[in-house]
Amino acid sequence: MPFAISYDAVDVLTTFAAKHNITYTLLSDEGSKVIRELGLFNENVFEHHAAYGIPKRDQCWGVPYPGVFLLDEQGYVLQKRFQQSYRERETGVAVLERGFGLTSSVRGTPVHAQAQGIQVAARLDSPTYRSFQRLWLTVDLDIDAGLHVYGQPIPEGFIPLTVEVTPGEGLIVGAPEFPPPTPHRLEGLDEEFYIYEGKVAVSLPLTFTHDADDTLLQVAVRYQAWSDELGCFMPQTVTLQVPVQVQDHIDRPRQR
Amino acid sequence: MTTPLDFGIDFTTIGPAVGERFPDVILPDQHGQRVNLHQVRNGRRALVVFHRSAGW
Repeated sequence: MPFAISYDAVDVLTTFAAKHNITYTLLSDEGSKVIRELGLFNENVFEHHAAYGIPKRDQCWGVPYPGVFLLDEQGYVLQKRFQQSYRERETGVAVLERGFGLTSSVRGTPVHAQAQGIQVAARLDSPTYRSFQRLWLTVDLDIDAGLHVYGQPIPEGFIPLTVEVTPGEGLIVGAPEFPPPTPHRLEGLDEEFYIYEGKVAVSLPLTFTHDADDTLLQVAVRYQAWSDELGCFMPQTVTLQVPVQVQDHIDRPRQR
Repeated sequence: MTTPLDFGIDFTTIGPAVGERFPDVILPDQHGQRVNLHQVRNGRRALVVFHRSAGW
């Protein structure tokens, strides 16, 4: 169950909850006592704002580092999710899926492609973005039975599985996260290979740093497959175009 | 400035650590009622979000 803590007075929370139909618990830490006791008080908020060219505003004193704690049934901290930049935020879907391992029904529509021996689907954890929101792109691969796809590390001359998104103005592409591959020895070869079989999910973070227009993300999945029966296949590249729409911030018009 | 900046913050040392019990928090909610976080949680998992402000 969710709790959101800020330094706002109760009446500010009452107004906000009514305006946005919020039914989960908002907690008022007026005076930032709990924020301070928990060590989350951002003493450097003015410096952080200055780094972005934002002028000093007294109302900012007292804010916490923005972030999320995930607690288990006994109330122990399972995970902390904070970003280096106070401006950056994950989606609720990312927190639930990547933090609690839940599957959310609210996601971007997947885009499908098919190539030699492999089905590919790409989806974002939200079909929309707001500036400085961090979206995760997940690429699901379904590899035909009997086929392997090379992972990393990999001997020279072979192509490992990679997922790339073409960066653009206002789009920062982070490093992809691969599941651990399985060590594998190929008959007649001395080198050790690491491979993927069956279903594989690769995720990478995308941060939109300003409100560009609705856009099509260009996703390239490169791989080389190998089968015991047919031997080594030529490297393949599958390209997908994933749509994402810009969304206004709550109570604030879009900035360009 | 349109790039997310890296302020070099070590979040492992900021706030309750992973593996620690989250401290007892008792604060008023949006209805003005005192809420004891762990009591209301009542054995359920929870997300505790710290955010800037609902006023600006």
